[in-house]
Amino acid sequence: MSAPMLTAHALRKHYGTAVALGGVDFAVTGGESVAVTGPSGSGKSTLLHCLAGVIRPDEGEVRLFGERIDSLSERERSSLRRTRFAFLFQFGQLLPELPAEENVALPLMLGGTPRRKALGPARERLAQLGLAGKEDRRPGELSGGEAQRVALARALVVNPAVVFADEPTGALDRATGDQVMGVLLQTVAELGAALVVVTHDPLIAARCTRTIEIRDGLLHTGEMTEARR
Amino acid sequence: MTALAWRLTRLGGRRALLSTGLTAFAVAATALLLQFVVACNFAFVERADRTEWREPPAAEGGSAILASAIDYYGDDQITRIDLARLDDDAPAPPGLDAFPAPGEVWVSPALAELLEGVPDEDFLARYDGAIAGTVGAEALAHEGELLAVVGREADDPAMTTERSDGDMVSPRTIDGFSGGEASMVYGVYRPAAIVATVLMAVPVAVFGAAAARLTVARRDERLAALRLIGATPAQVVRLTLIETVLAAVAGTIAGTLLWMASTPLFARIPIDGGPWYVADLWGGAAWMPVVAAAVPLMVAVSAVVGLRGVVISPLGVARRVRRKGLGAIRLAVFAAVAVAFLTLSQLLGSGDMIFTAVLLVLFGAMIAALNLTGPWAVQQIGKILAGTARGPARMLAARRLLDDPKAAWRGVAGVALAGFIAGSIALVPMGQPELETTATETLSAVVDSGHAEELASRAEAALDGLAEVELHERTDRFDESETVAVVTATTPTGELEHVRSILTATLAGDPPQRATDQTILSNQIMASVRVGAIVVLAVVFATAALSAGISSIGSVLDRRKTYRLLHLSGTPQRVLDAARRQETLLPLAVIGGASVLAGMALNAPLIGSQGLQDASGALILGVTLAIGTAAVIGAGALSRPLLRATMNDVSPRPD
Ligand SMILES: Nc1ncnc2c1ncn2[C@@H]1O[C@H](COP(=O)(O)OP(=O)(O)OP(=O)(O)O)[C@@H](O)[C@H]1O
Ligand SMILES: [Mg+2]
Repeated sequence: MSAPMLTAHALRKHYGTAVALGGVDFAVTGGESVAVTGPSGSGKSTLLHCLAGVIRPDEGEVRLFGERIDSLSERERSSLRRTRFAFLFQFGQLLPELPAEENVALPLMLGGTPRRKALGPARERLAQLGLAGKEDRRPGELSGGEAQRVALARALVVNPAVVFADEPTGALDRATGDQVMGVLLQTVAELGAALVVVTHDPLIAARCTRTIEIRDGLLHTGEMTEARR
Repeated sequence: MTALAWRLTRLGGRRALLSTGLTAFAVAATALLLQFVVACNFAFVERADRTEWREPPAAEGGSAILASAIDYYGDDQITRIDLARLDDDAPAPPGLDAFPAPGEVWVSPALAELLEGVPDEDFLARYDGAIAGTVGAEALAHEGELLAVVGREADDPAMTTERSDGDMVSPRTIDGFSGGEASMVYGVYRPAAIVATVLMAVPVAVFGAAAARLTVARRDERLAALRLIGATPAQVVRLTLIETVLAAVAGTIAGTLLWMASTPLFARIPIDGGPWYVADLWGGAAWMPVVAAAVPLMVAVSAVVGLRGVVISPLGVARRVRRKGLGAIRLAVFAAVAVAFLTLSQLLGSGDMIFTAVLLVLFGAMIAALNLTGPWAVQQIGKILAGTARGPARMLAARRLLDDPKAAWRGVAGVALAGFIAGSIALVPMGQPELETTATETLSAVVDSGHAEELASRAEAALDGLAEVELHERTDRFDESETVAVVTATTPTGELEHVRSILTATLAGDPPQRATDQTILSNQIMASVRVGAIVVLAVVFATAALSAGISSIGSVLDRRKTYRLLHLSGTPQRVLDAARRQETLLPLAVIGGASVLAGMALNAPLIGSQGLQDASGALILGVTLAIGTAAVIGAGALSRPLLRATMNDVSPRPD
């Protein structure tokens, strides 16, 4: 097995007296997809945010390709999120005032690509995801599934090392959700990227290469999980 | 319902409280400024009223004789009221304890101060009397007014000689001091105050109305959610109205109280050569509640208009469909009003009252129409930018302008309106001629043609070689067909006031003046116009800066979700700051510049362009440019910490 791409060691995070993460270890390699499951409020999103450098853990460390990233400055983490990571949320991550193609092109433009050049790959991605002809629509004019595919196109357009998804199909019906998830898993595999997906849905978890479960801020490695697999 | 609205405000989180607070703050500023704008009109009335006693109606068989004159001392102009008692019934004039006896001179406090240390021969000798008391405030236009009331015998030449100058009152018998005419300068100031009112009130009102939209914008998502769960449109309107009006009422009360507390400060603004009595600013106190009621009402109406979209279509706001483009009709409205204004200003002949009133209303309408055209222009700019943007900041700015041109316009509206007004004001001539000092001065006084020779020789005798006296004839200043006799006296500059005193005492009637003395009044009016212009510009630009600041904070609150997500996906704040700068500065440069030019172009036929030739016009334009840009940039800087806090907010469900 190749060396892990993204690793975390003994992550702890408190909100006041509440413990969101109580010391979590984590590792993911390229081409792998990890489902993070667990009850509501158990700390899944917090883990995701720590891994992606959105928030800093109180204790512990996060490494990307062996480099500490949790200790980087906000500016450096920002640029990391822009260039190496991609995000997919339940809904609402698209900018309402931008047409679909510009939403997808935005990460490239933020990286310095002029708009005209950035729109090419953006349209390509959209076409790949079955959205040809809808490049001009605003998010408000797209169905939930379409909007989520636009968001996916945007996540993938920068060829990220790790894609983080937090209940990406939570707002979609089963069929659409399956379809979006299928495209997500397939393209991530093609890119050789890693995928970390938070989900409540056992069927989605089952499609990932590995599942971890969080309970009360701790990694749960009980028999139940083993038994279910 | 009120309880629910109040809960929604309280529980809406810090952001909701912040936006409600901003509305209240903006309304407070609006109320303060509107109270000021309204009060200044009444203040002029108060001043004017206190000058009425100086020109009471003539009455057959009255109890006293009154005449007035304008005296000069150095670069100052002194109003003199001559009074002579005819019988014991003669009432005491306002501000005096008793009817002044012959030889008594009553002076205003400002004149008393001016005369301190001045030898009698240089001034008091003119009145052939001694200072007997101080004229009270109830007889003075303002505390800086220079006024002397001189008691004389009924047969004193000053009480019998006609005044040729129309600004003075020739001797007339009176039986009281009421029912008179106000000093003619207030015939100049009061209409000017009305013009200033229009110039200030319209942008202030526009600002107040925009402030209402601020709360509404913040609420629309939640209100749409309420609609989705079945609240009726009426309920939604009521909820928002209650919330907005509560904020507006609180703001209005605060603003009005602040106005009341700060009247002594506003009273320091010098107009017509002096500051105000604080009481004058309370002259329109009866109207204070009216203004205080009108402000929340205006805010409420604006809120209802802003709510229309939400009320009609809950989904529209919840899902944010593409908004309909703004029609070019907005431009057409502005063009129509402008053409009407231009046409009428051409027709306007000699200042017919109704014409002037209509013209003023049209000018106000033009400012309002500019506010209507602004969003359209913003949208056009957005279109152009969206087509040409290369980098992310420019693209974000362009899309934002296109997506919500009205909100983008609110950020620069104040400055653009201010630019329009500054453009108009820059045309007004406000320069002051330099007074030259010369080695000798020549005083001239119009005298009764019948006794011209005699008066001239009497003056010569009285002056006793101090000045060189001559007798001339010239056409009357006021009636070209008449000629008048003029006595002139030329004297070394050092002896000027001494000679003037002797001449005044000798030649009753029109006081002797230098040619330059005639400019004292017009300079004083010019100075007042300058002060007025500064006040108007200060109010307008304060409004502009406030509205830029508030709308900049508002726009961060509006788009907090967007900013959060952009941050999550690694967008540097630098890019967002650049986008925000561009979405205000680009429209500002285009529309602001256009409004300044429009203000000048539309008013040039009426006002002329003399102001542009003085330093004042260029100064106004330069300062306008600097303050306007600084206000908008400062507003952006002000909201930057909020932007940072918003971006870094990663709570699971930020509001
Ligand atoms: N910004 C915050 N402030 C305070 N408490 C927080 C914050 N973010 C998370 N928490 C708390 O930390 C715990 C973990 O939250 P987290 O969002 O990670 O849960 P989750 O597993 O993603 O839940 P869900 O499946 O419902 O999304 C929760 O108890 C939550 O209340
Ligand atoms: Mg979560």
